[in-house]
Amino acid sequence: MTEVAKKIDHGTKSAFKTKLMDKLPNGVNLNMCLTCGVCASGCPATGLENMDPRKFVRMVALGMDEELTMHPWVWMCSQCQRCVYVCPMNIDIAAIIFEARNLWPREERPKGILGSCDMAMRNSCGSAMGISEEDFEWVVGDILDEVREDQPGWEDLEAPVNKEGAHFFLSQNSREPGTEPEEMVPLWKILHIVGADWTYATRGWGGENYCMFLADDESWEKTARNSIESAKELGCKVYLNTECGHATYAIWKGQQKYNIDKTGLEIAPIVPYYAKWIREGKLKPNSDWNKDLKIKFTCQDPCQQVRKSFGDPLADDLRFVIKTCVGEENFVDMTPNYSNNFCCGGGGGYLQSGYNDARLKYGEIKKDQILATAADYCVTPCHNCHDQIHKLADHYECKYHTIHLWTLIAFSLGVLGATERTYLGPDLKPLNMPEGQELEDEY
Amino acid sequence: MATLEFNGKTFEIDEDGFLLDYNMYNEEWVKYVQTQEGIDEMTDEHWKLVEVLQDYYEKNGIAPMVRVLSKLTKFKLKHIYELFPSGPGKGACKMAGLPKPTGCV
Repeated sequence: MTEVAKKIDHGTKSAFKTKLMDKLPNGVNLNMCLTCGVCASGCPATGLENMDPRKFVRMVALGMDEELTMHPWVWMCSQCQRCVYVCPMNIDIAAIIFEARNLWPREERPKGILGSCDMAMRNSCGSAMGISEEDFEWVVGDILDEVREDQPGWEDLEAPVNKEGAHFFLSQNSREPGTEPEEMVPLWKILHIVGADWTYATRGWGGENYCMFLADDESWEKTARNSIESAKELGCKVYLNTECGHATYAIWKGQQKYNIDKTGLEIAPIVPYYAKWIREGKLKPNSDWNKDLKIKFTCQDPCQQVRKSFGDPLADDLRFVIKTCVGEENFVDMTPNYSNNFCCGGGGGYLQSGYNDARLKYGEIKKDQILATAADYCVTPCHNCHDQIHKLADHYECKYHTIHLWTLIAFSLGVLGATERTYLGPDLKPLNMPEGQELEDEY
Repeated sequence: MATLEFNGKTFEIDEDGFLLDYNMYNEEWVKYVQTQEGIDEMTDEHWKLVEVLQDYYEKNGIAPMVRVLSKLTKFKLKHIYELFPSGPGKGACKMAGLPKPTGCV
C-alpha cells in the first residue's frame, strides 16, 4: 500500500524556522545547507529514534514543526558540536537543537535535567545537588582536617573559603563534596605545591549548570551571573574551572551569551594551568614509575573544553601533561582526536536525561575508540566524560580504567593519598604511595 | 518511567529504579530493594540508615552528603558499603524511597 505523501510548506510559514532565523546569528542560516550529510555521518546520535542531524535540519527547513515538537531525539543529541565542526557551511546545528529543546514545555522536559536546574536555582551556591553554603564549608573543613591529621607532610595544606583578594576563584562540581569528597584533595595538593593563591566561595561555588542543558536561558544566565559576581566580589583575577567540561563551557559561553560583566576577571580552564606549571618547573610529575611497567594511557578530549571553546591548544596541553606523567612512549592517542574527537555521550545533560539505553548506544563509538588504543587507562579531565566512559567500561565489560587528570598528576608526583585512589586499577593502587600511608581494604 | 510489581504491590519507578513518589515507600518496597541489594536480613544498622535518610530528606528535601550521612549515623563510608553493596545512593537512598539525586551523578 502506498503511503499518503505529507504536504509541507517548505518552511515558508514555519514558526520554528522563523524563530531560528530571527533569534540565532547568521551561522545558523538553514538555507545554506547543502544536504551533504557530513553532519549525520559523523554523529554518534545518528540512528537513535530514527533521527540524525541532517534529517533534523531538513525537517526544520521544510517547516515540519509538528513532527519536531517534543521530539525525544533533542535530548539524545549531546550538543557536542561535531556536526558544526565538520559542516562546510558552518550551520550551527547544535544551536538549533538548543532551541528545539525549548519547544518542550518546561515542566515536561526530562525530570532529572529539570530537577538539577531547579535545585541549583534554590540555593545561592549554584549546586545542582542542593548542597548548602554551610554544608559545603563544613565538608571542605572536615576533609582538610582529616588530611592534615592522617597524611604526614600535609599539616599545612589549605582549602580556603571566601578568601578575599585570592588570585584564583576555584569552581567545584557538587559531585565531589556530595558523594566522593576525597577526590577534592589531589587538586588541593597540586595547588599547594605550585603555591597558587586560590579560594572557594560559599556563594556560587557550584560549577555545574543543568539550566544550560535544559535550554532555560533565564536560569542559565542567573547561575552564571551569580558565580561570576561572587568571584568579582572577592576580588579574584582568574575564574578557574576545575576538571568539569560543561561547567567550563557554561560559564565561558554564558558570560558571552548574556554579556555578563567580567571586568578584571579571566575565565580559564585548568588543563593549560597544569601544563604551564609543569613548564615553569613548579610542578614536577615524574614518569619513572612507568619505565618498566609500560602501562598505556589514552585520553578523551572533552567536547566542552576542546572543540566547543578552547580548541586544540588545550588538547595539546592535555597530552603534554599526561605524557610527562606516564612517559611519552606510554601514551596512545585515540583516532580521531583533538577537535575532531567523538563525544563520549556524557554531555548535553545525558546523565540526567533518563535516556539511559540511548546514552549507552551513543557511547559505542567511544568505547571502540578506547579499545582500539589497547590502553589500560583513559584520562578524562571532565566529570561527565568520566562518568560516561566509566559506565561504558562496566556495560560493555571492558578492562580499561577511567581516571581524572588530577589523580594522575598527584600519583606521578608521589602525593596521591591512600584514600584518593578509588579509580586506579589494582596495578597502580599500591604504587607510588606516600610515606606513612597504607592502602585500606576495598569497599 | 516504568511500573514495577513486587509481592502484589505496584510501584512507579524512574529509569534508574528509584521510586517516583516518596509517599509510595512501604514495607514491600524495602523487601524489593533488599533482594536487589542481596541483603539476607535487615539489621538495626540497615534500618538506622533508612531512618536517618528519610528524616534528613523530609527536613531538607535532598539526600545528605555522604560525609553528613557518616556523621549522623556514626558509620564509616566503608561500613555503609558493607551494609548496602551499591553504596549510599544507589542502595540506601533507593531503599529509603528517596528520588535519584540531581546533578552529575
